[in-house]
Amino acid sequence: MARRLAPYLYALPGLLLLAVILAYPIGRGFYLSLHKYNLSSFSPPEYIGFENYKALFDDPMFIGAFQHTLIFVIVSLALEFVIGLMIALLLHQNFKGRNVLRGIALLPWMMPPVVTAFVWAWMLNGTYGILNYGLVKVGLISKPIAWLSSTDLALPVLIFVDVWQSTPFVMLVLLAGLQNIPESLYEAARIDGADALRSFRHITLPLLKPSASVALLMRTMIALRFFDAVWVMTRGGPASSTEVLATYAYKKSMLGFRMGFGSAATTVIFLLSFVMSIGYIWLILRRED
Amino acid sequence: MARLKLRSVLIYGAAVLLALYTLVPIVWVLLTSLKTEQETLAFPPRILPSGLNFDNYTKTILEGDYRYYAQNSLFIGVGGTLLVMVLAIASGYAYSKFFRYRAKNPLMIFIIIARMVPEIAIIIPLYFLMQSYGLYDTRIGVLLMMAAMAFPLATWLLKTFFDDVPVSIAEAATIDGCSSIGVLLRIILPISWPAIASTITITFLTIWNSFLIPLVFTKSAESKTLPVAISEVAYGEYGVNWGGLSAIAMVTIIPVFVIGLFAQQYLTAGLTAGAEKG
Amino acid sequence: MFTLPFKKLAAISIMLICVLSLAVPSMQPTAQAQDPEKITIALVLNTSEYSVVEPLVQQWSEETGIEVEIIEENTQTYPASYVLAATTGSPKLDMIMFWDFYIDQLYPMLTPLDGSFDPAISVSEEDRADFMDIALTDYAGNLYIMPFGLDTRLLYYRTDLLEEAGYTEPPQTWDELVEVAKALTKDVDGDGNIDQWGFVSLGLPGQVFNTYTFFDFLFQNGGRIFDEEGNPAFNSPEGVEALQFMVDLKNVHQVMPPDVVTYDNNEVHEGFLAGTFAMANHWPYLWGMLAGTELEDVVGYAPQAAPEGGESRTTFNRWGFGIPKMSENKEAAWDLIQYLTSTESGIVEYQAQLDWPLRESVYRSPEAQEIPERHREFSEFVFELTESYSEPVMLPRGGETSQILGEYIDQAMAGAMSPEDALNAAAEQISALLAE
Repeated sequence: MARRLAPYLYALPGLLLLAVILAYPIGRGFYLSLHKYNLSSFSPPEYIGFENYKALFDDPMFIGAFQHTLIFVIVSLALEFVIGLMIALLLHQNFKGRNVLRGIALLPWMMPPVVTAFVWAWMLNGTYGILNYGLVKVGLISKPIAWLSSTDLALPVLIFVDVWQSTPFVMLVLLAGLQNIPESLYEAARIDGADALRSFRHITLPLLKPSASVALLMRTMIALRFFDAVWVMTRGGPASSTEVLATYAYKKSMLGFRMGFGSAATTVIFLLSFVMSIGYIWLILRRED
Repeated sequence: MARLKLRSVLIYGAAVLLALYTLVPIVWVLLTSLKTEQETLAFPPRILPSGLNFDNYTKTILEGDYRYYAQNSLFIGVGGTLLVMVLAIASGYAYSKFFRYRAKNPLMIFIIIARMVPEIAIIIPLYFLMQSYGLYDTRIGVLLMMAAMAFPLATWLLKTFFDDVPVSIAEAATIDGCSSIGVLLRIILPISWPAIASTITITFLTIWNSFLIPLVFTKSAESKTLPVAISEVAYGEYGVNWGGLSAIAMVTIIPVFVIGLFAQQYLTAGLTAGAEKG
Repeated sequence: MFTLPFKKLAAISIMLICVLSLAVPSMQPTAQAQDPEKITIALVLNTSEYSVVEPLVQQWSEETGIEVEIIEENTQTYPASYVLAATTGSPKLDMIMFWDFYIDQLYPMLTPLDGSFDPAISVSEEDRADFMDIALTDYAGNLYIMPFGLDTRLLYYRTDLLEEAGYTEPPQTWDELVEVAKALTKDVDGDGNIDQWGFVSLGLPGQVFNTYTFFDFLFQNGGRIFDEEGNPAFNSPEGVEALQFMVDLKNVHQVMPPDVVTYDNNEVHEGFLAGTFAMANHWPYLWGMLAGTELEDVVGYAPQAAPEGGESRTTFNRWGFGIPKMSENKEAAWDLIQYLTSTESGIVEYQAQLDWPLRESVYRSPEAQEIPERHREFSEFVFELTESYSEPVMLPRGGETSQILGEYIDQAMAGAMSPEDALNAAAEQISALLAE
């Protein structure tokens, strides 16, 4: 009897925390997305069904934000995983100073995102930035490049900043996964005559799937919400080329106090997260049975 | 022999590149925090300060309330991480392969969904909720909110790593009469130590660097955290105060770096354990 | 089996927490009693006004014996903060500090200060005569803000650079502005890159940046932002011309750097101080920043240029104070507001040389005559500018409408849309927004 109850007892405290803190706000968010509600006008929310959503998809700015967000998430994640795996493999090797390097590799992720954004904005400044100064001095370019004020470069720059900041997280998860793979498996493979590449493809990659999936899942959800760096560095500009769903939602809710409309935008972010993670979730859950 | 050397060269080459790529902006922040205002804004840019100028630190930390912010960050960070770890270890265990029950999948999905909602969506309703609990502008309030936000990821990570523990060992212990909690404490946790260390690091960092929630939910020095200090110092009267920003940033980064080093030892210990496995 | 120091770690953590909580001084949250002996006010921290207002508040507190709790706000988030406080009734603010640009979103939560709510809370006749007319502009039929510091915009120019190029007077028409700016845009150190630009103004898309650059040109060309019914009027032919002029400065005449579209206050004033720009449309605070630098004696100021047939005009805003409806200590709050906007406080403000009060008596006072001439002359110029050439800017749903407008202006600046299309699109979106 106790055995049966056990998992529920273990899970209960966590669920309680979520229920007490997040249940109402999440529900309210969905509820408000079906209403017209302006915080500064003191009139109560007015039910309007799916009008907000219709208005969203009629707004070219929103469509743009939608596209930019998708591009951002896909490219960032791809880069973070490739680079993260490379770094994790490097740190899995045995060499002197490895621990120090591991500490260093984690640093970007330890920086508060707001600070990272400021620092990179400063270094990439079109007129005063040290990057342009360095590149010109070395002779790689003749004119300073307008990194953040060029509609072509701004989004790639933001992707780079996020990759710089978030890769250590992916690396950490992958490294833990790597360390959980028993050495004996590799030994057996070596005895069987497999070289490093084959071991990698047939042992490492498959066994990394669970931890990689979790990291991918969580990173996707966080990347879809990407806000801090955009707000600090470009505010969605130039010419709305870096407008993402989160900045769009922020402008509608916090600047305009249009809670209904803003909630609709954030619900879209949520739905996007849900759709993009269904794949992983199903995969992960399938292994349970 | 040559192959070994090539390997070393490749490894150390990669290491150097990694270090540069990582450190340049951080060193830049460090140097900026030690410059005077003229040196910071000089063009062409100056790389090194002329001397070690601690004005930025004294001005932002000693004057003003920022040391209280630092204490709040510490309280919320350590407390929040502890709360999350206790709950997540229990929950991760509940959702791991060691139990089978019908509600397992739905519950796991529920937890993921709880985290899919972006912060901006819940900020305003959360504001009303916290007001009604009387927890607005309190450290406990912020701690609870941060814990709720960090809990799903920690649970998932731990569940995944617990699933890696060989079933045979757990079964052996059960046959020997070990209760479920015994299996958790005496078998699973020791083996998963590196994973736990990683999870602690990730959780602590998420909470420590959190910005939006502390910004909206704290109004007084009794509850404000370091990231809030950053935004206050950063937006000076007319524009960005680079010196002050850099100083506060360094203060925010250093404790985390220390924790990272601390967690590292256990990552290393875990390596030895892994070698003994199987 | 690797034995785990789990219990040890748990013990250490618990000890750590205990030690930490002991080390941290316990700061009791202050009681929220509805005590007439205490009021709660919100001040915006990162403004020049704050450094003058806060000591004045402390002084008032000492003189009246009423305790004041100051909640510190940030320019980035205070409108949202105030609205949230009003919706939940907590914290129960008795007085707030704000920029009148946001008045449309804040006035529903504020008390009228012209006697219509409570005869005791009213600006006296003498005060009305003392304040500049524009300072007490009402909104939606009532006065909701008592002004503390004014904000308007003017043309700064480098007298030395203009002289070098053969100009003894600052440009007064748009054509002259272009001519002078072109002459002063050059490659000074011969490396093939332009490092001195003839002109600069705010360009960052968003509420109070590139919109204000546009508003200046719009007003100078005789245009209006909104008409009497509250419909967008900035997409009139005058408005399109104004935006075209602004866009041409960057794209056609190339007297502004290409990355001007990322400039907020920081870049503009730093660039000017560094000598990168020969002329700038900017706020008065820049004058104070120039004091003590090498540029101190070679910068002139003038009303902004206007097109042929137009007149020099610019924007006007005020930092000031209001009383939220939810306050239960309105009379005390009103007393504080009157204290902060009195002549005596105005003199203190003026002496700090960071902001400009809106009372004539301050500028005519004997203490004012002791302020360095350089600042005094500038201040009288600003005063005149405000009285004669400025128009208030208080937009409906200000935070959001200006954000939309700013983004479309940005599209035009980037050449992605024509000025006409951009303004029409903005007008359409804003009309739809306001119709809700």
